[in-house]
Amino acid sequence: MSTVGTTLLLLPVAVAAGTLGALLGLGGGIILVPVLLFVFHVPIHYALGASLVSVIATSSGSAAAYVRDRLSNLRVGMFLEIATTAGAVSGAFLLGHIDARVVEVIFALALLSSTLGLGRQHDGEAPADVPEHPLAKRLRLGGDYYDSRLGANVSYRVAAVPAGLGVMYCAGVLSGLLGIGSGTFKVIALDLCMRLPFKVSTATSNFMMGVTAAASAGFYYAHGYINPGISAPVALGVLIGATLGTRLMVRLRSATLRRIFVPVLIVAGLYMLLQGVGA
Amino acid sequence: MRPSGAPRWEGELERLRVVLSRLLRVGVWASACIVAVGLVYYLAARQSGYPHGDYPRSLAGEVAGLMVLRPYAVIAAGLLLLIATPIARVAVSVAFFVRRRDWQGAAVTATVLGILTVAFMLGARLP
Repeated sequence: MSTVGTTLLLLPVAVAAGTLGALLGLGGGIILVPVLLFVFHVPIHYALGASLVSVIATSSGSAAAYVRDRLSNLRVGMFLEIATTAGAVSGAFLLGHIDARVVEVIFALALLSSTLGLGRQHDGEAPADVPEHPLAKRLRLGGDYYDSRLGANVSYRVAAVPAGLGVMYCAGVLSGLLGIGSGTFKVIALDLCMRLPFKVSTATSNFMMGVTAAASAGFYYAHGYINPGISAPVALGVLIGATLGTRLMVRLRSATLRRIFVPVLIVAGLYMLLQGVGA
Repeated sequence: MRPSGAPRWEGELERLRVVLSRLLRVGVWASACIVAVGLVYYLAARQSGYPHGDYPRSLAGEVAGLMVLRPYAVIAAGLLLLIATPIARVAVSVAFFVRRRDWQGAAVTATVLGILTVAFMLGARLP
């Protein structure tokens, strides 16, 4: 399963997945897992372990850049990490208790739903008339950021804290169960529930991702799901790919890429779904 | 570039942002380098240093493997450092808030650190 040859072959594949993930705005892990399963015939738990490690690598790498600018809201992120880490522990616990086929089906559904969310259009403006939740006021969650497109400082308030916590807990469960960053679901909590500006939502989601993934990493490690021969080329490759992807992003039209690769991802997701169901 | 008139508490967080950014960057770089070195070592040695399908799964096993420089133990050391990076980010935040006597921030980050600690202690025991 994990011979020297496989390890060598995995590296360029992971670089490609990481590049594509960064260009599409998805994690490299979620793209790589179907490849690991169906091309390399890696058992699902090892594929998820490798993905989890790559999530920590890429999100910590990009968060290093994001935290500096004021786009990521540290207080919101740190507060909601209580929900995501608790969820991640539950998700990892679930992983030890449900059938691999069921995990495959849930993964396929998560892959399909994050694919559908790609390419949502966003204007740079913060939502107006957001009713501030009392807890948000007490925890001083609101903030402001410099919007380069508007050329002005935009301040925002934070709504629906309990709903946000609930969705974040679920995002954590998915992260722990599937070894993914579940950025799509984190952004839903921040953007749709708590009404944070979209740019702040993506940056804050990214900030939280590493800590969320680390919460289930102990379980994955102790259970041997983090196989060095698979995880190392995957983590390293995806990290290199993500760095390349962010550089390329300036030059490539992401809309064109999406038109090419979203159908591929949908087919991969459907294939995985069918495999899991046993058809 | 830096907008003026930021709220007072955001001003205090500026320092933390710089510290965390540096910590994350150093953590990712250092662990990526160790993983890369381990990977090259593994490919050059053409063996993992463990029986097929085996590798360290506990800190004790990790340290033992590292002492005799088994290729998989070197790779795993890098992966463990990578996993430790976001956890260190939370620990540094707790210390920051405690030093600034921001008890609210300290309570929030300490709760997260507590969950992470329990997660790692439970990780080995959960079925």
